[in-house]
Amino acid sequence: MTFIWTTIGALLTLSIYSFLYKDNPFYKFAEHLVVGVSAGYYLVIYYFNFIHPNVFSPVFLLRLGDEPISFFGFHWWMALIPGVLGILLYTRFFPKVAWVGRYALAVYVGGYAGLGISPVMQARVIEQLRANALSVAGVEDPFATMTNVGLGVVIFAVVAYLLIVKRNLGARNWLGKVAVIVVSAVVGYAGYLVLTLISNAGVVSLTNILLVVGLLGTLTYFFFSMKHTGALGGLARVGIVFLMVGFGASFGYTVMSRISLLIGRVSFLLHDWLHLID
Amino acid sequence: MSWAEKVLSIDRRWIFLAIGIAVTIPFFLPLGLPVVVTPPVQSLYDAVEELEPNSAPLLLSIDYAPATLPELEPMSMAILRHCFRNDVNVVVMTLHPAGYGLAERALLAAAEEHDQVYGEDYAFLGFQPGTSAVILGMGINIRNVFPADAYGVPLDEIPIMQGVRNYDDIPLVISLAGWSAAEAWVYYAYQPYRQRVGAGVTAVMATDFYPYLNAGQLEGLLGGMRGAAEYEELIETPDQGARGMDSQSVIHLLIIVLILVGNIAYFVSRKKKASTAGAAS
Repeated sequence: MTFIWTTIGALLTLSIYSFLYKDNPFYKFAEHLVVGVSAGYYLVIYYFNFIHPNVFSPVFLLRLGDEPISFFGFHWWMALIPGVLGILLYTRFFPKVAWVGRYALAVYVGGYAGLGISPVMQARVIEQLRANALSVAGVEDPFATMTNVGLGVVIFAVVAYLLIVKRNLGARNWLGKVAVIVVSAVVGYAGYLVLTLISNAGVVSLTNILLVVGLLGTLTYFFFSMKHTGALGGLARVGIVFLMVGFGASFGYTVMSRISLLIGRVSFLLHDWLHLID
Repeated sequence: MSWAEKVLSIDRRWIFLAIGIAVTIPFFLPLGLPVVVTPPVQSLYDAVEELEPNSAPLLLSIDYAPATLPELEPMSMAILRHCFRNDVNVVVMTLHPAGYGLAERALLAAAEEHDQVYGEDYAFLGFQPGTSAVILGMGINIRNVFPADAYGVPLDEIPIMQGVRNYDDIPLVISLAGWSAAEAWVYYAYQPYRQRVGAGVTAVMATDFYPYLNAGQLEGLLGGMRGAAEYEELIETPDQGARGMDSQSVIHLLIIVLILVGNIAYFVSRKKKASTAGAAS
């Protein structure tokens, strides 16, 4: 029996992936099936785990768990009122009485906003401000190696850019460009060695300096009340660089995530269905 | 047609096929690439390792759905194995309706491997909707939100839930989520109650959680299948996470090569078009 369900799952997986060749009825069938099954599954889970024990049972069966409750009692009202508000939300489908649902929505939105404003403000703003008030000197820097390598790469890139684009060196042939790249790499490595000496001295924390500069630059980029010229413009351009690095990291993680899903499906096909691997 | 134009006009379906083959081959020819453990994963491992055996339970919130199963189920299996190996009691719950079956599956599989007894070593509370309300409510009294476990047994009748009233009695919460549930644990469990929270998230979301990790709001962070593989490395039990790493590395290499080739082809063809246009004028 397990093999039948596994085979069905495998065929549906292959149907979905058939879209990579071109759209076809098998893909459409699998897509509609997952939407329908998900909706049905969620409905059953929500009803038996929440609506039945918290609304239907207290209001109509006068039971809260194993305990009986009294009609018109406190627990009965506490179950009825939210249940009615929830049903009122569906009045939005009937234009003449849709206005009723707005009151239920107001309770819902207001309640969750009230629950969320303080903790979210603390977690996303206050705590982050506290964490970014960093000391740039006299502190241990556990990320020194990573920072120094990163800055070494930046030095290499800047030197290569200046030599190739600004000074137009290596323009004649590929050999010239390679020579410029080698020179830039040597300068970048020298920069890495100097930064390592600075980090080992333990006087300043380059990582913390980088974090503070990146934070200020990124925030400056999103400050639109003044024109981005002069020092402000320079800091904003630094912020753009940090933003791009962040987007690059995010893109890399996204690629890894999507590939992981593919790996999971291939593992299912080869291991669970075809038993070709251990 | 020059080589650059040929490269740029390749039918994408050949690339899909190449990726499919590149994913499949390492399953048959494992490369055995080493898995290097990163500090965020080590931190979470250390936090679980410090938990006392047969004492206050770890609360594991398995909040993922089938769509993110390949990344997050290896994490749940690794953490459960770690806990059961150390005789740490575990209470599992879920905030996602589709997570009910997946949480139960992972919990029962890991418990069977380590001969754990329900009620004495682990418990399953089931699903409750409402995310923020559930997390906040558990900070006052878990029984307000989960009066009974997933099988209808009142919590007071479950041995490992004796004396566990709220977050004061839970040393660590770990949320494994492919959506905003992990963030909700930070907002509504860490901030108001200072409950220690760890997180395992999909790789897509991992970059959003590093600020919380760096600010000390998270004890540790597992990011994607890679994070699961690192945790499996730490508990010396390679499984789904580790098995996928060879394919992951091969695919990443292939994508880097494709990006480089594509960019080189683009700039070469652009230069050729510019020189052709210049010669024509």
